[in-house]
Amino acid sequence: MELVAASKMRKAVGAVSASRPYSKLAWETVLSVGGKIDATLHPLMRQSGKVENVLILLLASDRGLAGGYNTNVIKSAISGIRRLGENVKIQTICIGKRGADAMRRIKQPVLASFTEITNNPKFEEILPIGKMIISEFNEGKYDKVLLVYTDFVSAISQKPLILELLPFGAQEKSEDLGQTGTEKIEEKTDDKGDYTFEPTPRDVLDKMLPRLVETMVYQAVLEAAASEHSSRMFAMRSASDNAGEMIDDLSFTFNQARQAGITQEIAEISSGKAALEAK
Amino acid sequence: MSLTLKIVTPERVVYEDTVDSVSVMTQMGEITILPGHIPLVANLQAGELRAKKNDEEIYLVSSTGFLEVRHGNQVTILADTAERVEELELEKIEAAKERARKMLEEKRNIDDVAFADAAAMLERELARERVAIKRKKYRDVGKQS
Repeated sequence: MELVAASKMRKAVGAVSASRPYSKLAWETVLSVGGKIDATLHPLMRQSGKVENVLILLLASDRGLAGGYNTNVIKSAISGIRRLGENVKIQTICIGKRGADAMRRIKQPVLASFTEITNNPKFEEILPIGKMIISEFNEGKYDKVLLVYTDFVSAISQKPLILELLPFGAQEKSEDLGQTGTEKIEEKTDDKGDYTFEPTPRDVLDKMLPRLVETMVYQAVLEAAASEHSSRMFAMRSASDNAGEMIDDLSFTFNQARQAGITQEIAEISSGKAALEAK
Repeated sequence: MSLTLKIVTPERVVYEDTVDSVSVMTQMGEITILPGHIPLVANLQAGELRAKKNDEEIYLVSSTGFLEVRHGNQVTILADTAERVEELELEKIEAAKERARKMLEEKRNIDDVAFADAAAMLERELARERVAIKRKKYRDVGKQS
């Protein structure tokens, strides 16, 4: 099991590190462009000013036996929900069975649940999720879209994160969010002046923003997949180690008991013989 | 002054270097970016991408994507796919083009989304082919002289 998880992890880590530069740069572009232009320019940048309806996209795994992976990400989702307060209506989209189960358990409505994706994520499979988020947000059903996933820091360290995905441009105000990959994106204060858009701002944003949502979701899924496989690998390794220890312990006890039995039998035989000779 | 050019696709970082100028195909036509350009965001069209560094030209081909010019002469190109001309192989492009063309025919009346995908694919392959043929000619001429 450890080896299976290890080989899956290698693949997932390869995928995540290959696509990181792209999504990091794309995210930076959003942050730098987002602060500069009029937020009413595009529906995906719409700031409603209030937080009443929130959509949460939760990324967990389909199967258990992955150490604290699911527990941690679900815990951070729940604490995120708590932080929003009670007056906020929350809908969730879950990727992975475990996440959907957990949300149902705490009686959170689940809008959609996707399974069988985290094993080997492909961009085409993520696309419908991105499209769904975009259309839901564009219809004005939600004021905010949050992404809860596990950031892959290294094979031994994964960190659950809450990322504010939509609306674009609001990210600068939120604290300790806005991380992709391992590095925090520094704020660039020397950025002055407006951006020129070609052909028109609307045209560029129309193409760019949906693409970015898809990229961010895809990246999050990749991060989550890499985290899942590596924490499963470690869970399996410690399971093997523990089982090995237990086997050692048990065979030691068994040998002791066996030896004690033999010693006792010999003692009985020799004492029996001694008793016969004495007569 | 020079530009810091970065060309990335979802799969990899294709090119990263400091260059003197870069010409790209945008939706509005070809533009050349020189150091000191004002911040710009533009949609990219499938086509040739030329970077100039010390009188040496580097040729790439990219498909649709985005171009961002930031303060401090930073140019970022986020393309769906991109490769250097040296990586292009005409035979493979030819085959991919045929595949895309066939798909376009098949999907014409059935599925709008698939049709759009196929059309984009064909356009990308056509751009690749165009650039590859052009550069091959130059290479061959260079060899003869």
